[in-house]
Amino acid sequence: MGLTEQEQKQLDLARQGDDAAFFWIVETYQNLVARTIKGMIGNHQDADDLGQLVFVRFHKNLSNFRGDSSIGTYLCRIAINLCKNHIRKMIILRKLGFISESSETEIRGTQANIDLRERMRVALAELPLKAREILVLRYIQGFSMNEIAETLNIPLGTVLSRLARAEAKLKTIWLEKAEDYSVWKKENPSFSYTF
Amino acid sequence: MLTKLLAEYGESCTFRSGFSHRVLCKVKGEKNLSLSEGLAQFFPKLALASFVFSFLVWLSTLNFSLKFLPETALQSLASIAKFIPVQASAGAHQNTPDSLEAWHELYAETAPFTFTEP
Repeated sequence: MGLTEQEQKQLDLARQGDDAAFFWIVETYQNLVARTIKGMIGNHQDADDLGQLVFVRFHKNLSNFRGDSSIGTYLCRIAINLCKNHIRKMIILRKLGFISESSETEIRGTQANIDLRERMRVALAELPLKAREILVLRYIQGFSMNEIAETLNIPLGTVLSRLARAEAKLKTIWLEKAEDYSVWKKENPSFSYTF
Repeated sequence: MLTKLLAEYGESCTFRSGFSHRVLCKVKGEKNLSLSEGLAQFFPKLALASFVFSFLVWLSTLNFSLKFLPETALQSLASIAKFIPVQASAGAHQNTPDSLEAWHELYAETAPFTFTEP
């Protein structure tokens, strides 16, 4: 998975210090980075800062980026690592009592107006990190198995087994939560909890 | 269905408007960091490092002689140390000292003790 002609051209220009070329890269990949970060940490206020940090780090490493993988895969790898560090830091700060109990697993809004996306955010936040990252890459980013293996630097077999476990876990969480959503269930009787 | 929901959730994930401009400003800002700004960025680290250094200097000025240690700590040290004289003079462990003074006396007897390579 190399770079397209356009990507290579912009990358070369960005390496030479062309701000417009780097701007093009940010514009092109910002949604991909946003999906990764918000999939990992939810719609947290730090998501924007983490997103900026991803591109700043990419800019610093422009000379080291060989182009073996696509820019998207490389950015996703940086984003996932930053998110993991952020989540671990939050867990420690929460344990030490510096920040209040998590609002990530709380539903925002009343039962009647909770939408499915909000429920999905909560369900994702309850997943372990490894399960969360693989579901984000597979279903939110739409990466192929090979791309996931490359991004997470794990063998293909591990990707498959980890994905199966993550799907099962998400389904369990979703079903547990679904019991609380009686209003919504009445409105959506045909919803199937399968992948 | 859950797949579809995940994809839909992903589609709703975007950064606030003007994100690219903010990134560019940040990148350019880091590039053109003046000396004072650079110092300001590193000040917390500098402060922490100087605190640790001062603490170490303060520690080194303290007189760390054994007299500052509580007797129980000294006895623990002695009980570890006595293992050597016990091996050097067989049977010495039968007279295990129960006070610091007694240990000092015992140690004084076995003090000119030399360790020989096996």
